[in-house]
Amino acid sequence: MDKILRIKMGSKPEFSVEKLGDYAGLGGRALTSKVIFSEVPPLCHAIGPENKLVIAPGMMSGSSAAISGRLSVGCKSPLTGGIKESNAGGQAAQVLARLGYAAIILEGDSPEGKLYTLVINKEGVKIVDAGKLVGLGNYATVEKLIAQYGEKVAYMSIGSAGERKLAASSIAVTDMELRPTRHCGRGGVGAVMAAKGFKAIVLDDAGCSVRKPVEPEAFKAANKEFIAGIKKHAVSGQGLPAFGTNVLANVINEAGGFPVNNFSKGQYPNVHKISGETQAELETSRGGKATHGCHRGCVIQCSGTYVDKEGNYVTKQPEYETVWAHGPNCGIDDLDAIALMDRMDDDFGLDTIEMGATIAVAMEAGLCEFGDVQGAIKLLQEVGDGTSLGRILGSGAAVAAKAFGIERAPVVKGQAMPAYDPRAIQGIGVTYATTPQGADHTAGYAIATNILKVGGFVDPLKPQGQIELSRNLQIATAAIDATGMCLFIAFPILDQPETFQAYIDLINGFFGLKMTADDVVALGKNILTWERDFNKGAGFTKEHDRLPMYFKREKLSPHDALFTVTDEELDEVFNW
Amino acid sequence: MSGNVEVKTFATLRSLYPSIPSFPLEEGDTVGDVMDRMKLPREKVTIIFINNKHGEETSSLYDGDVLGLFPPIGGG
Repeated sequence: MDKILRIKMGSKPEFSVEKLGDYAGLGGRALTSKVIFSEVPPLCHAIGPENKLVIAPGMMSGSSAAISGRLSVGCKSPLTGGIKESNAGGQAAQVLARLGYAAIILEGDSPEGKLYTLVINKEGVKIVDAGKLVGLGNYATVEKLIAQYGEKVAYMSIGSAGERKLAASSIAVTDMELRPTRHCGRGGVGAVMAAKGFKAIVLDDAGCSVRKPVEPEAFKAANKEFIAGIKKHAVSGQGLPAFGTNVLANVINEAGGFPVNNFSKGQYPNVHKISGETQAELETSRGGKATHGCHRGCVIQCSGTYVDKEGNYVTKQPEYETVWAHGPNCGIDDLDAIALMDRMDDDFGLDTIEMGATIAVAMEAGLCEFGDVQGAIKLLQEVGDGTSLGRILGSGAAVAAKAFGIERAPVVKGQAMPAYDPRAIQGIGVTYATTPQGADHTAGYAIATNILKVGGFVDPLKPQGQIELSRNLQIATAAIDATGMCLFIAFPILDQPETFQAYIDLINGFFGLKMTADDVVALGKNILTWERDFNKGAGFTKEHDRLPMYFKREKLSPHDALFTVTDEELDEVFNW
Repeated sequence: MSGNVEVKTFATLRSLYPSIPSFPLEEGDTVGDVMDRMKLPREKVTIIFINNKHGEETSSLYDGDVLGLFPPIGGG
């Protein structure tokens, strides 16, 4: 990972391979955000030629460090108008890192809107006409790519939503089975990839080897300790592998923070029909898998395979946020329908959170009733078909709410909130409001401490302690996102000091460094500072670090909860 | 006797310690007492809800309360 591949699109596509220069030592979100901060004019249009799309494996990706296969994609977001880092599993990060690239930077714009396929292997780089891939969904795109480039390759692609430059469009990354199921979902990154003129990226690491640590013995010992720590923690070692992320449905519902019918209630009476427990049992009984990794080297295995009644593959195990977004948030309790919509989102190339939130807004606007399964599927199909209505819906919850005259758009900076109501879980509300990314649970997962009692306990219903909690989590998360490690390592490293030390030792052993916990914190702060400075240049002020006002006015059952963290307190999050 | 509570169990607890719609309370019962009488080892439970609010092993229970018991879980 000692070079950057820069692709300049214009009248004639060109590329260059550069040294890292000022970007040396960075990876993942640290690298994507540093490049966007340094090279992209914040006032540019997100799908204009001045924006750039940065694709970066984590610092540890491509090595034998456990669970290090997360990929970061960064740009100015078409959805939020601010900086974006969108993160996915799948195989691409490992392969790109083994090819030696710390990042691919796509810049300029596509000549006459044409679409290309970028092919990267050990021999070099080719930019070829996307030809018959144009217009295809992600599944058909990958199928055609496999026929041409084979099965020992990782693919990234956009679906029809990206091609139409919709603000809810994603970039798909293939998993171990070469299915386009892992997505850089948030913020409309698919639209930026299309604007740069790329339909697909082929990453072939044939002939490349695993990245070698500088201090092999120290690295090996730390990796062993790190893996043992992940496996011995009950969340990462038992709960996540057995039930997947959707194990959260019951606990968030129990806490009264499970948003139902476009964030109008905090509990769902039919939660048992869509819970992780029910989902895992259904998958196993049909011959699917309830325990599976999204990339090689994962030691948690929180994913799975969802099959239909006949045992035929439908999609990967839908994640908690997806089940919630297309399920209870739309009044829907049918796991098969939710899995179908997950498949459609993946195929069209859409963010499942944004789409579920948008369909719920459309339901509130009366386009169909809450609970109308066929109505929801039809609305999603409109997006895939690219009808006028579909283009409004594919632009996200904020645009749809405006188009249909609805106040209740559960968004911050134009991005839809995920599966936790900030009135009943105030810490996550602080993260939603203040993260430079727009409403994003992963940016500072206060659920861990507000609900799950990981890393201590801060009462979710009270404002006290939430600012400090969110601040510390946002800093730690930014640093983890730089390493390419899955964020779920946070559960063991927050609870087990020896696992946190093993994590630092692992990085030190790999790079031959002597970093301390303070250095990790400093990295996290740097990343957040670059991101906030970019947003400031794009016109964001502290007044954008707020939840929509109805979260302070409309009480949420069962606790009659309102979001009570004050604006003045929110302004303290980044005063470290 | 001093009424009943509903006990709900989740995730890995569920197969060995199923939910109990009506569990008889004794005077002065805490959450820990109920877990003991269910023969549910206290160390298996890290997240306790009483009527949708976080509780502790030492929290008192009253007639009509709904108790939610979770092992360590996470996701997101």
